[in-house]
Amino acid sequence: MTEDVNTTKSDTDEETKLESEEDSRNFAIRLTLDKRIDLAITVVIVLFGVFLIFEARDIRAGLIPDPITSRGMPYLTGIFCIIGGIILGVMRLMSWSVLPGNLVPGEGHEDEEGHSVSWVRTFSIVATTWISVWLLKSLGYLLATPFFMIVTVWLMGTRNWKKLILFPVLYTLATWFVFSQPLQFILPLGFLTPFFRSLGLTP
Amino acid sequence: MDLFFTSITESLRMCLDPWLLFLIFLSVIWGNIGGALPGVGASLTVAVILPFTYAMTAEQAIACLVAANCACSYGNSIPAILIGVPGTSSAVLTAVDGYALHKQGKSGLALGVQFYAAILGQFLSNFFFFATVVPLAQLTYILLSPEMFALYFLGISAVIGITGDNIVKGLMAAAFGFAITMAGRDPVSAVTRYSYFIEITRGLEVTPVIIGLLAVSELFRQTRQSFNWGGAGQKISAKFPPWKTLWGMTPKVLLGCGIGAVVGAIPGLGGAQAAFISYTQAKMWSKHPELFGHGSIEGIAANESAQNASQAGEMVPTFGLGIPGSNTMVLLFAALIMHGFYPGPMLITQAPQLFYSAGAGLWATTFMLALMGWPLCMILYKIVTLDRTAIIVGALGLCMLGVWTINGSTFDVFVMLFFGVIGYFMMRYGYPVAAASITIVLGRGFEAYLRRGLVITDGSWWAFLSRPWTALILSISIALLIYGTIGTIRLARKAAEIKKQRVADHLTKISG
Repeated sequence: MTEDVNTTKSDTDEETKLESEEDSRNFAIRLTLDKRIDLAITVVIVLFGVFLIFEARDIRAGLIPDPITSRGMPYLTGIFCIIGGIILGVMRLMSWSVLPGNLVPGEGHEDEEGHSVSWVRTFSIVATTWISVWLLKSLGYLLATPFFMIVTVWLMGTRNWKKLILFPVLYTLATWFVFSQPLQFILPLGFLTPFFRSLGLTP
Repeated sequence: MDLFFTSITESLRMCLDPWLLFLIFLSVIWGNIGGALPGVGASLTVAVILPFTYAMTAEQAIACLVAANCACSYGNSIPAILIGVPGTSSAVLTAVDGYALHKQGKSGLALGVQFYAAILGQFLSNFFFFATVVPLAQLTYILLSPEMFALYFLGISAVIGITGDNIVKGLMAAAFGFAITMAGRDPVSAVTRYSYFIEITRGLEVTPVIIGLLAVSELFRQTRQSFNWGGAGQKISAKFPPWKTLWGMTPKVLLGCGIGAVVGAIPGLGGAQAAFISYTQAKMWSKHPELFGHGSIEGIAANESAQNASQAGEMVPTFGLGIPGSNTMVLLFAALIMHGFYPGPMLITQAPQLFYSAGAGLWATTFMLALMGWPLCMILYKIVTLDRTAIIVGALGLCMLGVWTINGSTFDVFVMLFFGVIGYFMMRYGYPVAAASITIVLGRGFEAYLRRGLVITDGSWWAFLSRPWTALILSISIALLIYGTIGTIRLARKAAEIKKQRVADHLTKISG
């Protein structure tokens, strides 16, 4: 499998700089979390809370007279989000200048050490999945799925033709057969529907 | 007592169905593979076979999902011992001692102890499952809306145990889960809330959201890196150890089984916590504590029996109280909802066949692993060499296909992918997806029972909260909440101190 070269320049430059220094191998700390994005998420949480409360004003009370009403939980959740988001934002801002640069110690799932990281690849794959689902009804499962798999396997760095072409085709045929024949699910076939209908493979 | 024996015999009777046994066999094979593959985990293992269960009956679906979950706990230890890489976090301590034994040329001893402890742990914990769920189910006759609210509060308070180092982020994840449950019709007045698309007028389907948050997010996260596990190419031979050696581990296995079953039954705790507690207890009582961490078979026995016993344990609150005990139980809930059953304490009394089928899944998995667990070791060792890209892409494809088959709707798939992206950011930036998943499953019931309960008590909070069972369950919940919060704060403080020291060292190095 080829090594991936589509890495985020600014983030991995900082990581690479740290990891390439001989002394850095003795560091137990890994700086993997972008504090700007972390702060942006807290802002999103606050805005989400504001949104919940703002939209809750238009919710009708309902006919059943309970003290909380249909608006109660939305208001409560909105207030909770606003307070929580502000607390997280303040915590992030208070520790903003502790470390130079934009990276701070990670708080979520860490990437595995010793292997290159690429968020560009991840979001390319996300975009591929969205496109393939959008194409599902027009192209059908038998064409949209190999498209999705070939592009995704290629984005993951594979260049071996067996894995790039054979695996997606065999996977698509196997899953189509299992789901449509013994499990009797009707999978979309797009413009190939009349053809498969004439073969009796789809209702 | 009659009900206890009836439940066991009914579940064993279900095991006589050859078609069900065949489906469970396939699930056990897949569960072992999923558990053995590092990075896959129990949630993804179960999520991948979830779509296949739509074509089954509800009983078959439950048995298969339970079997896959239990088999995952067995499979995760094989690469832990032979490569030093645990398949899931529950096998971390097995990796420490097991791999040490492997390097000493004692692979067979390590694998044999693991096999014995896992099978015995599963077998005994099955009795614990029946012994606790049956009495719990009898209590449902006294549960009205206020008591149900208290149970849901207990389930949601378990979130505090999985918030990680940052409690506020954990609570925000839980709040997000609550907000998701508000889309669609209000569970009490049927008033429409936050319905911006016609497709969510009746609320978001739970299954696509859960699969998106738990499985797809993890798959997206794994696409950040591209690699395969090395060091798994050479041939390994392992001889089964003498029965006398295994028999000597029985006290540790029994201890681990008890700890695993009880800890697993506490919502928010699971195999990893049970394994750790059992391991430390075994070390405390061992005549040779110095061996722990360097190839102790007592450590392996304690770890394996606990993590395998916890699988039956986490099904206790799931079936007995309607509170999912773990991520995989949340997926089980999604499967039940898909088959038209609403999970809750009434489930066993209204649909006892589902309870028996869960038991059938447990028994059949234990017996199958007892028969084929040992030869499976070498096969699972080879499985780890499979192309990880193929597994990630294949699993992603199955998730999309499976969600599509729910309603034949691309909207559901888009919802799953949307929550997969949300879950990706949550995982990267420390917001536990498990907390969001639990509140998504329990949120509607929590609100519904609270409001209906207040209607029953004519709006009186005192009358609501002072009902004996409500007060008892809420007191337990608050005690667990306080205990969990203190524990989480202590751990977070410790982690913060360590981090502070490391940051200080780092700053010293770069300035000096």
